[in-house]
Amino acid sequence: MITIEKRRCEVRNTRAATLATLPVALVVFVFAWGAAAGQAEPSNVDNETCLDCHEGYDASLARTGHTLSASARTGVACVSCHDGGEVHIDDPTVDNISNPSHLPAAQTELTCTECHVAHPGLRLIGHDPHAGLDMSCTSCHSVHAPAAGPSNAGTLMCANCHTAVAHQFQQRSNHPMMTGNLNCVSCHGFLGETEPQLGHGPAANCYSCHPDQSGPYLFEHEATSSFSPEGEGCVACHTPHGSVNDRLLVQQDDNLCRQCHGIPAGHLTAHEGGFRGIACVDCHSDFHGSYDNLYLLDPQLGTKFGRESDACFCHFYR
Amino acid sequence: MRSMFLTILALAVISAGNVFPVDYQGTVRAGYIYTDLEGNHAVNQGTFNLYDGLALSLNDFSANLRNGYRFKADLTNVTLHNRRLSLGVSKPGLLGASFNHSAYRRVFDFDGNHRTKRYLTDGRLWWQAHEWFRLYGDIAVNSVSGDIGQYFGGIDHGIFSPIDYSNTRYGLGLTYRRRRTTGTVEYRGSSYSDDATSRTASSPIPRYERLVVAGGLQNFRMALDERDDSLHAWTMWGGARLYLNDGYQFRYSFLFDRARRTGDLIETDNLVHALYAGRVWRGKGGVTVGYQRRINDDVFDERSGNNWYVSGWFKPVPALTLDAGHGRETLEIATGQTLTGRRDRNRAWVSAKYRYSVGWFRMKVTNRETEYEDIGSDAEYLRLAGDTWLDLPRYGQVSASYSYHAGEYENTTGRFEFTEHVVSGDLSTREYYGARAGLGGTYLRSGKDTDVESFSVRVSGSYTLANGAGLEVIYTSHNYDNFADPSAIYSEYYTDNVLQLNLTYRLD
Repeated sequence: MITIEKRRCEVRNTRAATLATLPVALVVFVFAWGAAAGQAEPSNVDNETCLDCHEGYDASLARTGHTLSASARTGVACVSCHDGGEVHIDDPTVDNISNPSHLPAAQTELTCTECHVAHPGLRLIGHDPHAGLDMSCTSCHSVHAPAAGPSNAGTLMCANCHTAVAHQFQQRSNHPMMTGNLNCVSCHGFLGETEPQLGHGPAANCYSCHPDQSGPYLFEHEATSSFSPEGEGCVACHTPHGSVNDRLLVQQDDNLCRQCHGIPAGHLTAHEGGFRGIACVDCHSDFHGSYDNLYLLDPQLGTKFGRESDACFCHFYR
Repeated sequence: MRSMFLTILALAVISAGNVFPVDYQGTVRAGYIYTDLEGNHAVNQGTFNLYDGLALSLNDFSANLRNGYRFKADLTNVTLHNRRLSLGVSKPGLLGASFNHSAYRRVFDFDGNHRTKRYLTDGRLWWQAHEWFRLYGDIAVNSVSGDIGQYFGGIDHGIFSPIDYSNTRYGLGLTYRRRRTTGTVEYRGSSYSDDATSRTASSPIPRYERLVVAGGLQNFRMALDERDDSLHAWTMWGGARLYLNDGYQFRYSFLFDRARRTGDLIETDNLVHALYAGRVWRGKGGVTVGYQRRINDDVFDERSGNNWYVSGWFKPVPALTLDAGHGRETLEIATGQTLTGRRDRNRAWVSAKYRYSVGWFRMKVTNRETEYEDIGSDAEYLRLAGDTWLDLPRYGQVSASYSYHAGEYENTTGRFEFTEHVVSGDLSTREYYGARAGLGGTYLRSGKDTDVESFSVRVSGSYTLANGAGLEVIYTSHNYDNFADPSAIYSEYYTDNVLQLNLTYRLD
């Protein structure tokens, strides 16, 4: 079994890393940009009055964060979510009491954000593409369910609509979502929790788990580091949901490289044509980026092909 | 990690049970996983993470104490190496803490002996210090160790190198909330180590209800001992999102990165500005336009690119949603030694989704094209896809999808084409007298210059008795064949049969 000690591994033993961090001033805001005006006064109908008729509903909440009046800091009551209680106790019909799960999405959102206003991005849901389907909090959360989390386990819940995407995870090469180690929101910030992407592009999602590929490099692979929203960065070569090719690649072998790169004539004639047919990445193995080689060549290229020296000096600019 | 989680859970529940009356629920699973694998173990990632053996799980467990505290746990396969563990404790409105741990592996050789293991561990804590103020913090560590196979010639040659690194991300914040007014101040950082490099980022992130500001600064320095030199990089990034009441939204972001080798002052610069603007007419439609300008300048090449982006969605009637978009990038290489000329990228998509009383149906067309005129390279991909989902309460649920993928590229050295057909579907019944069944499968055929066939079959069944006990059976099979096998050493043929048997008991 051949074992080639790649540069990155050799680096581990030979390079001492130092780190200098510039502290960035922490800006503190106590500014509030909200709409306190117009908030309805809370109803005075107490929980016991509701439970006289709606027997057992307190038990359905007892296992959730909405336990009635259980909070030490904030109180939760039936009327916190259901408007119209004072009228409803005199005329108990379904028409005069609100049920957030049956309201239009915009009104449901207003109800929930009475308390969950600090939920990151929650108020932004109206700007999310899902708003096009009039989805809101109760589309995913069942308040009276045993747990107030998503009404169906995260991945399965998304798969109910994103069927084709879920099926891509059945392909040969995929991220471990079907085994539950990752889920959709590991990469997709549904509620606007994508601040790291500001400036870094979609590749920021990849770097959090694959920091060894993120650089910075002195000699970059243009596709890797472009930060372009138009299909470049990591997804220029990898398709993250699933692929028929190994390592989530969009193409096999040299066909991947040749979408952007031609083959210089020298590759076909040098060394008596001895390297004709050898894959690009056999030599250009630092394809994510290099610290010292313009052509992203393997720093131990010579050794790889049986020479005594690490480098093939004709090809190196150092 | 497994033992720590189990010990904490056991102590918490036992001690809580002794002191306070406990109301609890959950499902215990005890079973065995049989795997029968044949062929190249490095081929099918869907089964990398399966281990033979006794599997114990405690799923969806929650316990509620009379004093308002709640424990939650979801511990899957605690006796195996593909475990997924999560624990949480909270008192609504006062405090909460949660821990998650996940382990999985990636196989790189024919026999499955060389692999990497990845661990994802995170913890979160919050405390409602005052009616108006909440403190919170979180930390996440992901680490990888083991042997990684080198991508040598695009196939598995049995060449491996060790890998060992960890990445830690953390944050601390304070949220102020009083009625509908809120503000958050948050500090985030990260550090990375493979014993060779480390980095950190400091990101002050004030966050409002309608304005999100983020940014960071990274100073990266790495000694190049064998060159008696060093690499030094500064990266600065930031941006803001602004959401206005009447549906308008704006986003701006920038990044500047300079990497420099100190010995000879060779340096590489990256500069990116991106601006997006959009408007949403809630429930009716939306449109987003964007522009990005980027410049990459290293010793040999100077490249500048302009990106344009437009997308929108529209609901002409409540049941129908139309979605379309187009993105274009033009890259100009002002001076170039390794690249030359002008490159154009185009991406476009159109989709329509129709919802009816028991489900929905969707069609989508996607096209991508890259043209690099100076090297005569052209690559084009077309994807046609349709998928549907049905929910029939009296019978069960059905989902199905089909996609056709065609690609071709051409340059001065040749031409390559491929087509793919992917059919997939799943069916699950509703519960009949305690019994439930599921059946599914995926078939892929790739042709023209490729010759690949792959399929998987999924069969499941469960039966639950009135006392909460039950039986689960899950059978899966995967098969992969590359008939144009590129390796004379290792075939990519792979097939497996996996059977999972579980006895279940519902705690309540």
